[in-house]
Amino acid sequence: MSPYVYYISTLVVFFFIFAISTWGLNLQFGTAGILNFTYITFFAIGGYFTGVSMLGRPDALSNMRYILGLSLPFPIALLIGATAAGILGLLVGLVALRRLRSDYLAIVTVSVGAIVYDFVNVNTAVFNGADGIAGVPFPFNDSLNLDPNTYTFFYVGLAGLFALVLGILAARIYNSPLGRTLRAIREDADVASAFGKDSYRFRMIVMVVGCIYAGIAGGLLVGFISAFNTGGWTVGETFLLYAALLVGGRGNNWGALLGAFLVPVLFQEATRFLPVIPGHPELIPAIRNMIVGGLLIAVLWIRPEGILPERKAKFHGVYTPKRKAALKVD
Amino acid sequence: MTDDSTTSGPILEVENLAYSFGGLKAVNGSTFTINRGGINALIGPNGAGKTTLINVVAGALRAEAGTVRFNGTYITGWQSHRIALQGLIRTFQISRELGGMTVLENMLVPPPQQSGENIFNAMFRPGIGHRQDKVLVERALEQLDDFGLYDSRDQYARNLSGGQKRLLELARGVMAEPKLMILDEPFAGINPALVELLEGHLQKLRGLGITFVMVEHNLNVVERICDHVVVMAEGRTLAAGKLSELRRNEEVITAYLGGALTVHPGDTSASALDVKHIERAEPILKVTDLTAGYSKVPVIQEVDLQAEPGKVVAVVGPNGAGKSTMLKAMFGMLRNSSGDVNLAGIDIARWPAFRIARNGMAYVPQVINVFPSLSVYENLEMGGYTLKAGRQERVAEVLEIFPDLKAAGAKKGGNLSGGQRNMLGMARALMLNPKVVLLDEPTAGLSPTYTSIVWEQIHRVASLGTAVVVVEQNVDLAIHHADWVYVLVAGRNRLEGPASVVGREDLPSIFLGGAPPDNLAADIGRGQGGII
Repeated sequence: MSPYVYYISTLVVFFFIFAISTWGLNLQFGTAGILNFTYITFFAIGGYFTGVSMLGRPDALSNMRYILGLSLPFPIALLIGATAAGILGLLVGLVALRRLRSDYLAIVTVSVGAIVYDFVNVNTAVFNGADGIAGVPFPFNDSLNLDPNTYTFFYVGLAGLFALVLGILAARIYNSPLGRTLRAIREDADVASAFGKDSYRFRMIVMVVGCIYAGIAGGLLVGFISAFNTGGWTVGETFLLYAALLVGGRGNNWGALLGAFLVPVLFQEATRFLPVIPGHPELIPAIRNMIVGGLLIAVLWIRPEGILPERKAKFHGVYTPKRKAALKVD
Repeated sequence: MTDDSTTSGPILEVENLAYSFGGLKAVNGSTFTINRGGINALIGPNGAGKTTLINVVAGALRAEAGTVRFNGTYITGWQSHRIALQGLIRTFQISRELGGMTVLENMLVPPPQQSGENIFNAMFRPGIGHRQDKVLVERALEQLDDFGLYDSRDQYARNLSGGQKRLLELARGVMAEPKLMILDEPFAGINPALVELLEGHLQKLRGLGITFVMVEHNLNVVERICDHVVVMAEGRTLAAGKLSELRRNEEVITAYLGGALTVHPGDTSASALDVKHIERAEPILKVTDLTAGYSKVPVIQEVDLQAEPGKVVAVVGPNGAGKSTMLKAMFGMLRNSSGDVNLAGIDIARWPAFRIARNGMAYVPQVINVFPSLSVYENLEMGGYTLKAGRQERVAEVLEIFPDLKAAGAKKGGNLSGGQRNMLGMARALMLNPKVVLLDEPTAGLSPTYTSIVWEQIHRVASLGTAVVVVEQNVDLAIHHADWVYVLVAGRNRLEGPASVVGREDLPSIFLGGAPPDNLAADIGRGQGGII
């Protein structure tokens, strides 16, 4: 089989995983206006807990240390990963969402991210530190027994199924009265509470749901690459997802999908084909960041709402205008 | 809208309510009762604590003392969303439309008990939300039609005009099925046609059983539509009753004029209209036909004003008269302005503020921004930043005028008292040796002792040959200290003259309304209403 097909299907898997992440971020930031600057932490927690739930008990030979080691099948492990991300989201929300000011939330999330990152990175005895975990069994492959190339196709289907279901659910939330209330809170939380909406409770709900999206995406990634370490969840990764959402169009799930394709997949991957200049190994990643940053600035400059901006709510089949407007107000 | 069997009796009982910002007691033992089924007004001069009171009652701020009882339930200290669910809905002083949502969506947020707001229903049973929306959309469209907003239903709310936003504010509130609506200045900044329209809506909604309490400065509107008026001043409720009775209440008059008048009102032996013929010195500042505002609706209209070197000119008027707006317009801070502003022979109208400052006019705003981490001395240096030479010398000169500041020279700006801050603001404005100084309420919030000190300084500044224009809330002080007084009402010159002449006018009735019917009609035509 052509290596390109293998490469493309790998990218498709990444695309689905990024799409799920960006939808979760869109629920939090695009819909409810929650500035979660450590979104990737929830992705990482989901990935880590999924991984360690699938791995067997740590043994001396592999020289890896981690908690759990339950040898659980992937669906249950993913559930544990998603739950862990949701619980952490709840805890962060308890601290950060009490105050309505979004800058307060942003600072709390940045701090939480730094604390969790350092805690895991330094704590080699419990989390294996920066080395992370490796050798996570491929989901379902103990019964499927596929070769690596064919397995990638299977995973395209698996991740695609998750993306489809989570995409539909995200769209339903956005279009529901809940989504409307969340957008009202985003626009003006004081007004929302003046109309009886408990901003704290609503923001907490979407905080947890968004973090569960991140956790599922993380779990899917760990299942696919069978390894995970702290190097993959730096602040820059959160920025990449924000860039995806802002470029694609915040408050629009199709925009989030487009952003997930353009930023982390197309622009990140395309730069991998740049010729490496000998002696400057850091140059390509730096250029990659510059290109993403440049794209973000260009979009914010030319089309600040994103390529697919938030759309006006439609109420199909609901309009039954009985009277014409009699009054004209200036 | 209310399904209560009780149609009379109190709906809102406020007792001894208190709230303070730092040391300032904004609401200080306010007590009043609102009965079911009427349109009630909450009036009072600037800084009386009306908006703070609303915020405490509606749960946006937490009461420090006292109780609020709504519909028989004590709601003191409840969070605002809980209070709203009881049926007490408030609007905001500045329209707070949900700008990024359509007008129709704005209408669909308030209805209580929407099952579609439940996360599981939203994700797994979307039909529930859709079915409920269908009913709500019908209701919302009918309401929008009533309010003349039907054609704008699919517009983003931020694109509505100022008047439409005010209508939406009210229409949206009705969607929340309120028993009591508290409106914070619903008529502020809207045009005359809309005043009438809004009045009609309020009357109609009252008929549906909603009780209203509205903060309102426009006493003509209050006169026309309110059954019961509560007067607040300095955080307390002064009096309550019918407006016609309250107009004769000594305490109310005193509160509105900022202090008891030492001259006798009603003696109009020298009509203020004659003063046009009084000879005045050659003005350094001459304002003609100045019209300005923040949006398309002008706040001040065709205002005239003159100031002579070495004289103090005071501008007084009820709140909302446009006094501060006039100063800002003169100083080039408002974009929508027309008319002439002549400073020492040069027309400076519509110049940017920095150019006006360089040409010899200084402006000291009501809230003075001093650099808190810089000393008094350094703050003054900042005021003389554009001086090319002799900055130190000028600081010394200015400090000679303000002995109090000289004593506090090394103190940090952040540690100054309110009065010292006001002085520093004035002193800083003098750094560039202006020909004209505009002062916006330099004595607001100061103790009587410090007020007289500030006025002493104002006289000293004038005695150096500067023309001083002071906006003053306290009419008695203005008459006492100024050479010439302008009375501004509803954005227009109402009367002017030497302080002694203006002092003999019937100022209480100018400030509190009760003008003859022909005047009233003219006032309505202006949109702001005659008074306040």
